[in-house]
Amino acid sequence: MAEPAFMVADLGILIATATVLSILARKTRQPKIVAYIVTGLLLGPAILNLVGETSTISLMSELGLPFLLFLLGIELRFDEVKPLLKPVLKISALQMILTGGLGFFIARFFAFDVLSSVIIGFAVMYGSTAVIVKLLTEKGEHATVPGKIDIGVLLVQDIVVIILLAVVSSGATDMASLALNVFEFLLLTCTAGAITVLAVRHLLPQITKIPLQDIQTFLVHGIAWLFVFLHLAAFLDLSMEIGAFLAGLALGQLPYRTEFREQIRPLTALFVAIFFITIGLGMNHETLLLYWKEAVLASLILMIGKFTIMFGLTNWQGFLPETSFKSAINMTQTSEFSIVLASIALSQGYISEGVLGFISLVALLTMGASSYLISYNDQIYARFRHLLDYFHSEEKSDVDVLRLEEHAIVVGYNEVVDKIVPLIKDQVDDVVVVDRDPLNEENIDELDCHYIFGDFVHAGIREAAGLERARVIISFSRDMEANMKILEEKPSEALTFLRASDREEAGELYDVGADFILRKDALAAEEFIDTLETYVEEPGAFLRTASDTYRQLGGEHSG
Amino acid sequence: MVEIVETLTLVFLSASLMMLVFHRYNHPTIPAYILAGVLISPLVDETAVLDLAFLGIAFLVFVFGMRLDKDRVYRLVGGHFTTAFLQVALVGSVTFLIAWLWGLKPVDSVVLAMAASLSSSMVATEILSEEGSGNYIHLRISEAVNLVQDLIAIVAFIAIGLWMLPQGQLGSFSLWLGVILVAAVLTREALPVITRVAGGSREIMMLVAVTLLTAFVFAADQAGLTVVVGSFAAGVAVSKFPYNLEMLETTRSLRDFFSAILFVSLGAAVSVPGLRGILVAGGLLFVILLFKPAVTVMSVEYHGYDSRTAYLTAFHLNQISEFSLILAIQLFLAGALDPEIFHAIVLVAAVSMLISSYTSRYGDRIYDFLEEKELIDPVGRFVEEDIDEDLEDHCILVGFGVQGKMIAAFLEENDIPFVIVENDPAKIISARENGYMYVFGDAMEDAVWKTARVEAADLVITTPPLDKISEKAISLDTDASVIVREEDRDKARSLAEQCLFVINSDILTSRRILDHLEKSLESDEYRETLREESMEEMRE
Repeated sequence: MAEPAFMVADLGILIATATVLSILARKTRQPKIVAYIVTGLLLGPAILNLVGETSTISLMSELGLPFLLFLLGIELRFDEVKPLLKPVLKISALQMILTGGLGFFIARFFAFDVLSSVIIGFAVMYGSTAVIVKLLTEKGEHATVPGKIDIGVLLVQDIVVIILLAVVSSGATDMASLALNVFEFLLLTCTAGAITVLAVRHLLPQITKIPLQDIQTFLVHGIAWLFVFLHLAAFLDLSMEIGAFLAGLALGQLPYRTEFREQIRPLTALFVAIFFITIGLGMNHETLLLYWKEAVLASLILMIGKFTIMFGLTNWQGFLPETSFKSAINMTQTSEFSIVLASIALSQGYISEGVLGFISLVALLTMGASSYLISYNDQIYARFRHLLDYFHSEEKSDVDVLRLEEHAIVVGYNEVVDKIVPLIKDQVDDVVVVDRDPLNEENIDELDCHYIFGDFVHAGIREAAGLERARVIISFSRDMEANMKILEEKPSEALTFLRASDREEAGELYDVGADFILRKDALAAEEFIDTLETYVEEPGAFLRTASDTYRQLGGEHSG
Repeated sequence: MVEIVETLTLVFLSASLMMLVFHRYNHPTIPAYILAGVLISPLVDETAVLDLAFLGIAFLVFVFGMRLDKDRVYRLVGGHFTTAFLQVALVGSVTFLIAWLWGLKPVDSVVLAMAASLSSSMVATEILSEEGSGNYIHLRISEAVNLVQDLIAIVAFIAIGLWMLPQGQLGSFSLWLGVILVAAVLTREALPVITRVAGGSREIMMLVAVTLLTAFVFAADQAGLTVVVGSFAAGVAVSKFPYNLEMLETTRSLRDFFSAILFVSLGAAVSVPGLRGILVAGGLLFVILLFKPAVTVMSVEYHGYDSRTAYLTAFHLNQISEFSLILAIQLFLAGALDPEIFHAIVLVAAVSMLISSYTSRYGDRIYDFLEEKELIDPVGRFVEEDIDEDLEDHCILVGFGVQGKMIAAFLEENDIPFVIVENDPAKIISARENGYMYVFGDAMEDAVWKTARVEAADLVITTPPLDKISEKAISLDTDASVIVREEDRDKARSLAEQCLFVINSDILTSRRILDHLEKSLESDEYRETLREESMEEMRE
């Protein structure tokens, strides 16, 4: 805190530039990672040489990767890809081997030495989770069959990446010690993983039952959990990334995962942004451009090769040609992890700075180009559709995956919801109840509908509930932020009942398009006055009405 | 790196565990953090994470500024500015004088005065959300007083910056202050455009927020002002609802992360104070727990509230503000504040926050106890009424809020005589304007019921959804039928056995909601009519 202005100035310039570039990236449909790396290149020694790494910046940057993997661990849900598990496993295994081989041969062709070529092969064999998941989610395609295949393959790749990162960072020099490292790593990871699973099964439910009634405190508990794992990983000589990933995997098994993910996401976004900016800061234009011709050519070959391999494999697994085409066209880039892997390989002395530059440039180019392919995958498919007829055959079909559509969302559980859910079920197929009080879990389970734990203020929760495709939305939340978001994002024709605390809020919500605003106080008083009327006329009749009121909701009022 | 991970592990693990314990007993978060820090202080070097703690201050004040909705400020501050100002001025100046006369340096005395006079809106809000605001007048007064105090704190930060300004810097000070003001106004105007350009991307809005925050903090630093002023300006600059929705969502978790580090390292920086420190701590605690509440009671009563409300407000505002903590740590790190006094303030902050969570929760019991021991005399001075002396077979209507007003209109229509019992002066005025009979006072007081002639009443209806009032009404020694309000459904059912009827919004409204829902789903025509009719009804 000695010189806050200094620290703030450097951080400020970095983030300000990154902000401008990400807005540009958004306009040109480029992924943010590209914007971040370019930010670093622009401000660092490569071009302007304006900003150096301060201790705060490097601290945040070093937290970037663990937080990214933590988030990845939380998001990893095997049951979501379960119906596709078998084909996905086959596809990803072969895809990685083939793409890795392709990368190796391209590198050899450009006369890189064998070790560098191996690293390049490893670096290019997986696709970018950040780019694909991000763009597919924005397009609402993450729950379609091609989307599920891609995400499934990416999951498998991510696990391989983590193993590779650990192996490379171990710094083995010969095959024997490398094998030993892999063995040691697998053993430790499996042990740690097993302990984690046991802990989650038996310990966490005990802990979470008691005190986590306050949603605001999730973040601190979760981060404490993450840091304990980071510490344990360091203690066991495992990389921090593994620790973070296992921590996330464990938390991901809890019902609170979506809420927690949403709370940790902004923090992760900040650290990850700084992480990629720092990567850019660390490069200078000479190393980046040393092999630029090779990189351009390699990117082109890789993109075509990746598409062909992925299409061939998906088609081989018997999916529809459209599905194969789309899942392949989404997967043509190399991953942000290729840069991470390369920087670690550089620090271990496996590769030269030029090779890091080559790998980084390939990543930047393929990510940039592939985001257009993903954004326009429908149009591209339409153009090439006639060529795909050749791949059609009788026995090809897609597995059904759940996707909420034309459904109803109820935000906030109370006992009225018990009555509402069966009523709506007559009209729509699926009902989702979103609630932020863990104590309501049992009651909601009894309703036999989808249940999401979390605060509807978070975009991720709204996404998970499929707000953009809902037909009926009923919110008992008095949170104006959440209610405004509902009106903003819902389909225009969806029936919307919202709750407001007072007249002003109700007016505002009506203006933006709500169908009916519940002002409980007023509504209850109206109803009460109706009842009171009978009291004025005839006290005996009043008592009958009163006990009726209670009985109709299953009360035991005896009058 | 490894050391920092170690430090952060200790910080968050201790914070998490301490919070589990504290929340189990409904204690607020900040003292949990501070005590966590005190516990781990032998193990960690908190200076390693000071940069992150510094960001904690920035985000804390930033989010506070962002939530300052203009309407909310006007609405709240309007009625209670003098209450807050009186309290701060009186407590602050008395504390300053005592400290100064005792021989402390002016800086130390000013910090102590701020610590004594300002109370914590974060702690108060936490207790508030737990009790459900809106229904209690004393919580509304506290909220307003807190807000005014926070604004006074910001002004104090500017004043202290000016005071500590090196010679000849006034020019650059005013220049940069001007820059901040202009930038804040411009940003405010540009916010809708920024939001549109970002296209609803939360990640970009988070980056925009961090950019603005760092820019304003930098400008404030150039003016010689602290991070508090810069962050506050940045926050106010983006306080335009609903354009800041994404920013609110994302910066909140950044704030929670960094402020946890701030408060834990605050605790870790504390060591056991010496004799002088203990004396200061004792004196400060005395002022906060006894003198300040006395002043609060006085000023709230002076503004026409009944004495129960005044005492409950005082029991809610007896702790140290997070702004005073921030001032203390900044001056401490700059070497301007006596370490003994710094330790004393942090410790008293933790203790007073803990104590106030009890005093505000058990406020009614403490008040009853004091009344029973005849230490306070609420009756006579503050019960005011306008009621016919021979009123009988009437209805006593407690609470003149949304429901109270509707029920009163119904009673008037049906020529049923009634009297309103209410302890909010503003609502009493509106009852008087309607020409209704009323008793101004708290329904917890027997004297109030007596004045409302409960022995001759036919019907009692209470509309505030507060257990204590329902229980009081049911326990009345009267032949009148009693109707109470209870929003918890299970409690409503058990209360229904003991009185004529229970108003429960869930139960009463569910049939209507279901009805509207069913018909809206079946016919679009119904849906349109419903929307039009209910909009019209509301605008009446």
